[in-house]
Amino acid sequence: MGFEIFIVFMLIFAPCKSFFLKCINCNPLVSLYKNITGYSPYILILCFSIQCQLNVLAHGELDTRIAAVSAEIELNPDIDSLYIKRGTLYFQHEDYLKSIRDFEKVEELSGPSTVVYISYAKAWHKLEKLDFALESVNDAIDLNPESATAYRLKGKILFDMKDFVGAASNAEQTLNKSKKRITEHYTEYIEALDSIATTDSKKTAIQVLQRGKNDLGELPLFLHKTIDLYIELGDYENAIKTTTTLLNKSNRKERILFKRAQLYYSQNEFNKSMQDINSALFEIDGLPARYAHSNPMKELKTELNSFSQKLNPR
Amino acid sequence: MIKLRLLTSFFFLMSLGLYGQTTIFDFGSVWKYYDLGDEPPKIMGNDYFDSNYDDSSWASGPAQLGYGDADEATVINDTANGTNLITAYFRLDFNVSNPGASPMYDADLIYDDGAVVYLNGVEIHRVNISTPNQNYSTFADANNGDNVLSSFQFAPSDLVAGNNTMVVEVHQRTDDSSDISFDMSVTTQPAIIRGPYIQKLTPTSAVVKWRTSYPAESVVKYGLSVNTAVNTQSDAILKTDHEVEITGLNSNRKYFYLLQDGTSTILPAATDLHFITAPPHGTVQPVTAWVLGDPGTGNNNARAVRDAYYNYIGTDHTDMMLFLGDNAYNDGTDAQYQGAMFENMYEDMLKNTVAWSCLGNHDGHTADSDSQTGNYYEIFDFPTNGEAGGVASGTEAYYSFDYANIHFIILDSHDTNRDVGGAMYKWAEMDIQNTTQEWIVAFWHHPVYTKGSHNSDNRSDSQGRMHDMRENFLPMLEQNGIDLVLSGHSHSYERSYFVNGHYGNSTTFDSNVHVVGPNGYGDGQISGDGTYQKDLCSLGSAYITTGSAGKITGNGSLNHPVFHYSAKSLGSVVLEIDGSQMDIKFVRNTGAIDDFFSIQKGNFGFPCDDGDPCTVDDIVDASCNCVGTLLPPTDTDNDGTDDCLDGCPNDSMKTEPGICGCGVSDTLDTDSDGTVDCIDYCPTDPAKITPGICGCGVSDLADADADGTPDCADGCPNDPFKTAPGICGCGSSDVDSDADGTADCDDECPTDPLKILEGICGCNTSDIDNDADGTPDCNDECPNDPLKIVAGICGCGLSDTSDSDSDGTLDCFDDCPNDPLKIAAGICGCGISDSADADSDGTPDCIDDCPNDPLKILAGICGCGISDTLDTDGDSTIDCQDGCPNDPLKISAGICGCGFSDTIDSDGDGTIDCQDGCPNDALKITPGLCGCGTVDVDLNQNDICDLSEEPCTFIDIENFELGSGIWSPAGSGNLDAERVMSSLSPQGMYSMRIRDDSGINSAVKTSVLDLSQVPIFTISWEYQSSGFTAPQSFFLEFSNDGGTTFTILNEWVEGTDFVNNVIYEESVEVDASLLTSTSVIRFVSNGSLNADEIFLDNIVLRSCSDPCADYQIHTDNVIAPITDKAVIGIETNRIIAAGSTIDHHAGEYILLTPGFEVETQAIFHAFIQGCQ
Repeated sequence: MGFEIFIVFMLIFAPCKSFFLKCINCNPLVSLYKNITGYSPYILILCFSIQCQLNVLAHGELDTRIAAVSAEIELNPDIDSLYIKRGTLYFQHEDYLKSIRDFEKVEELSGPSTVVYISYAKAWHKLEKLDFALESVNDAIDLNPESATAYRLKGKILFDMKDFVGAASNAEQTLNKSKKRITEHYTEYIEALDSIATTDSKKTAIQVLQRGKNDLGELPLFLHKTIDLYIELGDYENAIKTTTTLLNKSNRKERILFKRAQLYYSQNEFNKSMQDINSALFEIDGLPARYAHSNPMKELKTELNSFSQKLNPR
Repeated sequence: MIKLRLLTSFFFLMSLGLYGQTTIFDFGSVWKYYDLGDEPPKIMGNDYFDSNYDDSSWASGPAQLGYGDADEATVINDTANGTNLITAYFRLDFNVSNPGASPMYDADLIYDDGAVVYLNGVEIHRVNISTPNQNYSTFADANNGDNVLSSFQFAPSDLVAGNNTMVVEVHQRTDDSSDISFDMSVTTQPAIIRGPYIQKLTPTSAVVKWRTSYPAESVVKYGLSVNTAVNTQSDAILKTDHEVEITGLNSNRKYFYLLQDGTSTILPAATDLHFITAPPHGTVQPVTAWVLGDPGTGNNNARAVRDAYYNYIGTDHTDMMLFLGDNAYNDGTDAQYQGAMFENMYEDMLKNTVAWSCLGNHDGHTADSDSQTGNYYEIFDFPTNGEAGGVASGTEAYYSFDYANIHFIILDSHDTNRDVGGAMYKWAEMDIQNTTQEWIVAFWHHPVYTKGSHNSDNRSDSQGRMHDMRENFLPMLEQNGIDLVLSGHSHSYERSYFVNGHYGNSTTFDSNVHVVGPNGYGDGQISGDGTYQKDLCSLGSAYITTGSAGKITGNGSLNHPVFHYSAKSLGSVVLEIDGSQMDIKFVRNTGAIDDFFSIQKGNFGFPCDDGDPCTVDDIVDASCNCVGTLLPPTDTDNDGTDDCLDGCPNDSMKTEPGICGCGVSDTLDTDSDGTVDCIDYCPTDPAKITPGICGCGVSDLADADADGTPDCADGCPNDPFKTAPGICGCGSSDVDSDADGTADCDDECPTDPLKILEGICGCNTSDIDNDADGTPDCNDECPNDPLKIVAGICGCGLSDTSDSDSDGTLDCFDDCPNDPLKIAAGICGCGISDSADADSDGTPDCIDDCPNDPLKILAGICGCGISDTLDTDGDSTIDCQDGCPNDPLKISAGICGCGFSDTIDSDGDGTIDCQDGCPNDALKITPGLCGCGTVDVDLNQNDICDLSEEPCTFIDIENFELGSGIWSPAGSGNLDAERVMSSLSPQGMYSMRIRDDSGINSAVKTSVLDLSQVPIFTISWEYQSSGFTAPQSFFLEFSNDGGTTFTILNEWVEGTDFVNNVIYEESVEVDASLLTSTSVIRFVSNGSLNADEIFLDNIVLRSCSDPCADYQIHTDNVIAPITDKAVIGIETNRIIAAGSTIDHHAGEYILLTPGFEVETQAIFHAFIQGCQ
């Protein structure tokens, strides 16, 4: 009985990972335990090893997790999914070259795939080897022309290469290929179009935002950007109209009123501008005290008063 | 009537089918039946109702089975053994793979007139047969009419996985009954294997989600009491993961619900099956949230934490569960979520309490925020369009919602861009600036402060996510009034003081700067240091890192200074908000509440300074102005100025301290010198305000000798040069002109530093006697000649009597005092005759450089005895300077020697002719093996030119210096195969580079070559690699079909066949059987990156005819397969290595000489057949 306790003690307190790995092929301890107790200790080892693995892996430390997968790879050097797992961990660990090597192994074991090429591209992108990244992401697209992920990555690479037209084109493809679109798909597209900085690109950006509205709803983020684009295009009428839309959607209106006041001012509609300034001040005063007296609101109030003084002489 | 009921039943059953029920077997199935007028006999000890009864002898046919109604699909015997049939027996085998997938099985039996049903040998139902142990002759209890339906249920436990047997015996009411009818079906209901659970709760809507064991319709019936689920929301599409959004609800109301598949209830209503819609935004009412950080272990630790909370909350309602990520270890897989969340975990609460979550890193293993895919996004349903309050985000990765008077902001710290200016940041800023709720609570997975199993000071920990959230998001959130931030990730519990503005590492935390509020640096407990207080006008937030709802790990120091309380304990957090007070508790797995604190909001009147000296107790008022209480007016010194404004409240003469301070006049000036006494140190000396050098009353300005020293401090007040008497006294200078240490006033020689007395020679002249002749130098004409004190005839130092050569001339007058023949040096000098001239050229020998050359007296350019003008070859270079005196074209031997040009390079190969072994062969500078004019090729390495052995011609030679010739990229022409200029080119500047492993894109090939007539084809080349790692390689491939298919001729492997940055030569002979008129040769790189490169150069393609000499002698040891042929004979003493096959063909003999050996596993063939 005392020996059983000793064995259990050993199993509990042995360093979990190394103990598990060593004990798989062991060992006199196992035989001894079985001889004495009549039971196989493997079930006990298994229980503890699972617990140990859980503790080690669940810790979330990448080094530990990489070591665990490496140990698995040693035992099963021809399982591609292990290299995918480790390559992904290396990527998270910012060991991009090691990540590439692991995905090369995946490619060697299971042939080319979109996952492999995208992984290459992501790693090269992180290493700022943009030519290589582009080549890899193109390979991914060749292999799977429907991969939204590949197009999105390609867009980012081209953006970093200052090829904004290419970036916009791939952002468009990302939208077309995505099964589920998110805000960032649109903001990245808009950023690329913004960087092209032509009248046409800005008009396209407005259309893209309209498409975003149809897709995701009338997000304030989109409306703000639409207003900015209209202003850049000198289309103040639509800028004001969009600001009004945004105003109607917003719970708090003080900042948007100020924005519209500025737009009215630029169009020499001073009365409307003044009206919006007053409304904004009224809105602030109507806020709960903790908001009305917050620094951002104090600053806004100062700006509103200053703007009001500019308007008053008229 | 009976038929109508049956028809109704069929429609009903068919409709059930449409609603997704699974039919195990349907009406009309093919049954075995026994109608022979008796009870089926036992077979092998088995009764007819046993599952393993052998019914192979029974008849079979589709139902309906029976007779007498004309509606049977199979008509059975109505009589047997001469009597009417009393009982018919039916058997059916059917398969159920997973009986437990359904909670209950529904059977519909059509019978006439009575029946007993067995499943797997066990009776499960009987109808209209009350007699136990019935037999063939047992009649039914009553006449039930035709085709009566009997419905019943049986349990999954009645079935076995795999084959099952249903047996039915149908009995007549009487032996003269006119008919028998039988048919049967079995259908199932789906089991709920996940949920239900509540999502996206708003004041007017809720989402109910659940999972069924197989596809079914999604129906939620709901109502305001457990028995009045009268409203329905449904989705007819069959699915296993169900999601139904119920809209149009009233706020703050409890709704009971049940779940159906079609019209079949699969989860009946119950008192705990309900949800309570959210209160209208802004409502002030008690709210309880249960916060679970990193709960996803699915083990007993998590259950202990859960049970501790359940005990804490009792029967009170929990308004929401907040999951802080890492909800299912280790990878957030669906199965892990099942165990960590839905099964034997939180299911009792999830079915009536809404759950919200943020994405944890472990959830992120199987979820992707970019595409909103993966288990996390499938399981949860969050608002993207502001439908629960807040600003629409367009994504479920980050979102917000309102509940009562609280605004919740949920961020994705794991998988979404965390930059300032990124979409999430912009949205969060808009969102927080759009709320008017009393409380703002934010949560995300990665904590901004922790020293637990993670360290927020470590920039590389969690790839900087903690750092990003702290530096990027915190300033914006705090500035906009955030009250509480919850995070997990670190598997412990850490709770902060009430802080604001701490965005650096823990070492930069300064409680004086970063702690806010009057009790901010306390424990926050009402019973302790007092609650944290947040004024209407102030900022401040509490931070909780609580990742121990499933486990505790790590050996962190748990000493982050921002935290008041840190512990490595299992537990969860309870958030209770009621109006303007928030209470937070950490409930351990043991049930103990180890930490708690509160935040109170309101106008507490925080102390401040309004700058008004006449007020006290200054506080911040409701408008955030600093206001004090006015003091009562008092004037102690009665000077007419209130004390609060009187700088000298006790000095009636002054209200400000002025120059002299309170109580002292600022105007009294005793000596009237313009400086008031309080600052005049000589108040009675009108000439002075400070004692100065001489003291009050004595002028510092009197200076009789104007030497700059006031008389009061001058020892020689009348001597402008002295202020003290010194050595020589006032009026006499103490100067020592010659600096000999004796002042001039005591020095006889004041300008002679060597003397202070005049002596024999006087001042400035030394009394020294240099030649010690007794006469001081100042009186000695020859001061250095001890023999003379006057110069005499010969002068000082010379004797007036000496004549050394006795030539009668005194030495002092004799220029050659030791040459009795000369008294002057002459041309040749003393001791040398001026008349000696050996070559009689008129120049005395002493000045003749060539005393034996009558033609020269100087050596000149060429030296004595050689002419300075002779130029034999007339090349204007005199012979003595001409290295080639007989070569008019050269004056030095140069590289090539006299008579040979140093510059002529006849073949223009860069090597001059005299060094060029092949001056007329541009490709060679030595004859080599094959002689000038022929390329050296020795494939068999026998040091004999192949051309001398076999006639060869070159098909192509390409060094890529001027182009690529017949070589071109094999693929689409990307950069993986191209002609490049590189320092790695083996020869010259250019080579052909192949790299990476992009298949044909990493290959170069020839154009199509006609090699059909080539007897022996060889390809030789040079190459050098870069970047390759073992076992990466490159291939040489051959195509005989114009490049459609290729065969690998050989592979060269890095580390085995070559290493990087070394130039190699290779040669390969292609098997003649492969050669066709459409041959293509290809090199292929098998690296892995662009950086893996092979540079190919000097690629030579040759065609050689088959050599066949009359005789051959072989003495080499061979490994490779070889066939040697000779017309007459071969003589050999080869050792043929194991694994080799060597064939010899000779017309007359093959002679094996001593030393010849064929090793084990080697093969040697000798053929007497000449070269054919």
